Amino acid sequence: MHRYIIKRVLMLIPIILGVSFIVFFMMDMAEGNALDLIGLEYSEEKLAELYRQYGYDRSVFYRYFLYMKNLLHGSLGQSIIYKKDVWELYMQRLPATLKLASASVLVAVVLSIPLGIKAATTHGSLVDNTSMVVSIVGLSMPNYWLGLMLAVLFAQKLHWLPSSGDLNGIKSLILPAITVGTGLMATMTRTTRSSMLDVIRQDYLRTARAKGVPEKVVINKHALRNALIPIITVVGTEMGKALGGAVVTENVFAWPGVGRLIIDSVNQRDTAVVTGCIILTAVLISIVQLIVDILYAFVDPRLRAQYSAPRKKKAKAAPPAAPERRAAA
Amino acid sequence: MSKGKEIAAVTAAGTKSKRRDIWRRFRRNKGAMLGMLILIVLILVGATVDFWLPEDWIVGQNLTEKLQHPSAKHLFGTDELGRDLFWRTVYGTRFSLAIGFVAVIISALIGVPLGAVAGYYGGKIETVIMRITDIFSAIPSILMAIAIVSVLGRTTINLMLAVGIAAVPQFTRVTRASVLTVKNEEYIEAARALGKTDPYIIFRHILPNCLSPIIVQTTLRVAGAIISASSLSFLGIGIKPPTPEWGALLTAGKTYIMGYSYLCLFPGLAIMITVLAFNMVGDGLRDALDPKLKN
Amino acid sequence: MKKRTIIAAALALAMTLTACGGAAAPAAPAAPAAAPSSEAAAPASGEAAAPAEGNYVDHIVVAIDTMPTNFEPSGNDAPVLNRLVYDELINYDKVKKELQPALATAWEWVSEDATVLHLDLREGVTFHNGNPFTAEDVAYSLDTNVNANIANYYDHCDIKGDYSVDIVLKSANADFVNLLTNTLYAGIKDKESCEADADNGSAIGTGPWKLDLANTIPGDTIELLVNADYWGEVPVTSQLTLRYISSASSRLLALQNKEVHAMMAVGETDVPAVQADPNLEFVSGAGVGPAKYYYLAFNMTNGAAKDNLYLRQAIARAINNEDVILAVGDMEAEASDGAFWGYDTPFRASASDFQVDLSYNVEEAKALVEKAKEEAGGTLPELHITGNTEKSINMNHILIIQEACRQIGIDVVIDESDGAGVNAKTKFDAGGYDMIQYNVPLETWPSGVNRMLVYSTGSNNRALFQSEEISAMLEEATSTSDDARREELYKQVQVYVHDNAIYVPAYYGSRNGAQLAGVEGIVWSNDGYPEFTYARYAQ
Repeated sequence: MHRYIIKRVLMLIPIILGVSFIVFFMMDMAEGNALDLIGLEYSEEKLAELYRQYGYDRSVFYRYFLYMKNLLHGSLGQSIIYKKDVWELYMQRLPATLKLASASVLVAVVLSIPLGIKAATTHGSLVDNTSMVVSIVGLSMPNYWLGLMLAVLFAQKLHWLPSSGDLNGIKSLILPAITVGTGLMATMTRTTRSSMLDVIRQDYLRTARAKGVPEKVVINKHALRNALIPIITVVGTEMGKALGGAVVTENVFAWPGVGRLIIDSVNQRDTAVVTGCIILTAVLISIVQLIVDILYAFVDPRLRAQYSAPRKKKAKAAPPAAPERRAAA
Repeated sequence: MSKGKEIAAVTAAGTKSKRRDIWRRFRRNKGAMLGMLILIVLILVGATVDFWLPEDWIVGQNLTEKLQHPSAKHLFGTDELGRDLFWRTVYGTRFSLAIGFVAVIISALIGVPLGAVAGYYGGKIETVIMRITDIFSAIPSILMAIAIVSVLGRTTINLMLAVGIAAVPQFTRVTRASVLTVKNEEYIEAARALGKTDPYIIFRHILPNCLSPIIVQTTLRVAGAIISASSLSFLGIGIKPPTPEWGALLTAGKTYIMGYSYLCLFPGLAIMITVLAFNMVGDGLRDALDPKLKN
Repeated sequence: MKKRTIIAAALALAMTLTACGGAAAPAAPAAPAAAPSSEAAAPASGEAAAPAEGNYVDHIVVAIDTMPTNFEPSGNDAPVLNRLVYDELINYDKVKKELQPALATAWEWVSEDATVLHLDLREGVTFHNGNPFTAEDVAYSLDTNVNANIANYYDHCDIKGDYSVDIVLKSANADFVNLLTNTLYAGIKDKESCEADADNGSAIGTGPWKLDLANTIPGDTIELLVNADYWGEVPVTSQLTLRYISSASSRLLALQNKEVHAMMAVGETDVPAVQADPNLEFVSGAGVGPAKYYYLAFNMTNGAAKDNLYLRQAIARAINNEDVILAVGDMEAEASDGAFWGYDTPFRASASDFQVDLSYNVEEAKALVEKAKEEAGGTLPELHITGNTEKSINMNHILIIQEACRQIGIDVVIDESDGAGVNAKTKFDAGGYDMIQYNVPLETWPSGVNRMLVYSTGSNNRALFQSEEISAMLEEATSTSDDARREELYKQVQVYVHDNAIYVPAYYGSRNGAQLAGVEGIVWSNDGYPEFTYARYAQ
């Protein structure tokens, strides 16, 4: 187990290197740079000095070299626009992003798992069909659009909830969380339903039923537990998606999260901020994935045995692929 | 008849009856049939709209009729430059569908061969391909697409590229996984024993036999690509105006959402219905192709 | 078996808890923001803070449309913030149109030409950190000023005493006193804190509001606390929050929903709704003059129309400025008469000065197109237009230009771009566009930004127009104090630019804002940068 965790953590290194390379060069190829943007009214001497300071008077490779040198020293560099350390900027935005991601995953989990179970156990019923229709519609909605419509309804027309920002505690959280949560919920309901359906038909459940175990116990005690792995996988994937992909929703609700910082920084060509934030987001997503993988081991002893098995050929457990991978932006 | 051809013939005969089975199962799924009907209509509209819709209806401005609420004359109302939103939405079908299809073709063209090679050869090649895939998928796809569009510039082609490239990792993964399931089948061993080349085996025997997950993935990804493209437009990184792509229509409407929410409502509904249709067809296909899941 | 269920639940719970735990710190101080949305929150603290005049809420929140990103007053492009945190040496009253003492109590030119300016400084002023304000700080602030308007002329300071200083210029500039009044770049910062802390030292000013850096999220919210030791009138409100909300509709939504007390820049189409809403008050800076001048410029360095005068004139005549205003929906905008000059800036040329008529006339435009075709030897090129198309007012302007050109048979392709992209394109060695739609902020004095439009190295020279002759005329006009000569020179420049259709100005755009009924004290000047210093809201 420990070896597995260490291996996974070490795997972060190539990811960090790769991501930093790709993002840094892409940002650099974009038209314009941050210095021109803030420096429009600067005097020529000052602008030239800044060009030298940030290496814009030399090639992109030199700037990348500077960036990597800083990275090796544990620094994600300095934002040109905000004149601040990127790490500091990121940490100021992270709480809001975490809050939104967890709240929406929580909303989705609380609603979708019972719904998925109900749909599976009453297969073919009205509940089942309705839940399937609702979830496929939820999956098909662009979530920024849903957000806009929710804001118009609940903030503009009804005045029930704040429409933007994160200044009013839990109230501020409701609309963005529903917006992100709807897509997640749709995916989770479908996964729960299909993995429950798979399990329900298995022989040992028939045996249990035949032995006279009450249906409720069969479902909650035996079926659900065995259906958990795909569900955990999807919760983990969706959590990762919510951490990295709520960019659009954050923009709709002026949410002070990392996604909005990244978008603003792309527009401002603030290479260090974009690169740094994407690296940190990637690391965060990997950590969530790792937690999910470790949870498998707790849920399923067979997998645990695989993880801790001595490194034989092909013994590495391919972590179960997410059953429903969909990019809802 | 050589043994290789024999194998191919057997497979082909099997495929024919299999296809009939699949269609029978697909037809029974009401949602999927509805989705397909919607798609056929949308594709027909998208393919022909250039021929029967006068350009003036789409880009012609009429400032005296600006921002009119929906009425019999203007079904979806008019926008800030007095253009009829209904016809612009209809015309937008062409762009949104084209973006969805082309983007997915791009990601499939890159992702499927990569996944097949990784799955077939295994070893170092697999490790390298999958590590690069990991790196790309570590960047959230919307951010990836934003970065690509900012670099390449905002044209329709680049938007398709951006959305397509961002989805490559998923195709690679799905293909690799399903190649792994068939690569040790007997007929593959047989073909190998007959001295067939690797590319021949991959394209002739392996890929045809693991098409189902790829087809399902493709259908669902078209839906995802339409949403991604419209999200990019929504963030202001999409298509060039006055092109009435749905996301661009929605973005333009966002400015006026306070008084004229219909400007956002209708393009959003158009996106939703299209994506819904793709999702329903995708679900239907998956159930039809993989009877194990069907209950 | 039970363990598994618990773990699954714990996973979800743990994620939520860590998230909320992390969020608690920055969220808590912001909690008073609930005041505008729920009436119950404020009364207790409100009573303590409000002086004799009555009960005002403690905490005002305003939604702003541009994002102050850093705290260097000469280089952050954030006048709204700078007006709160820093003081200038001299103030310019936009309504009375006169200079008023601020940190400097008196000023005079002590040299023959405008090269040495003497200032007497206000005594007893302290910075937010308690340091006294002296001539050292003036010298430091000017020495480190990065803005071209100051740095291009400023040479050094001769400190004559703690409260007496001579500013020495490199070359004469009759407008320099005016330049010192600008909140965009002339705020005074504390020398000692700047030298001690390179990152945040410049966040210390002498202004009526202190930055609360601990609770500020750059690019999202800026928290300010009142400066009780302010040398001028101390605001009655004790906390002020600036929230950046980029879309106009979202800002209005927040205002209607009472999440904020005031907002900058109401969307054009929302104006009637705001005016009709009894809970809101629509404000615009009528009487002060408009904010920005929107124009179409031809690329004169490497654009396709640079050598074809008739083509430029044809396009100029094809555009109806009234249509542009209608399309951008700016109710209070004023159509341009063709001169590219500040709205009420001295030495403005008028229509009678021009020698070529470039007013809207499609028939004439078509005739000019024929001439242009002859000039080009048959066919006209497809023209590429660019601009900051992220903002709908720019995009709609461009669409009108495209349509106008289509009417006279010229194909125009729109190259979308954003702020950074446009800045990169409008460098002399770059280019890559034939036309550009852009705007220029208006200044009240002629040597300000207006001049930058055609000066050979001007930062706002989006036409990439280079002419030694014109630059020399502008230089002379800046340095001389002879008004008659200045008028002659400036008008010559304007006539040249107009007749050659280098810039085709469209309209003077207005700016506006809205506040909850009952909000007082905000100065809604029409330069787009309201002063929130004395904002207050009665219970």
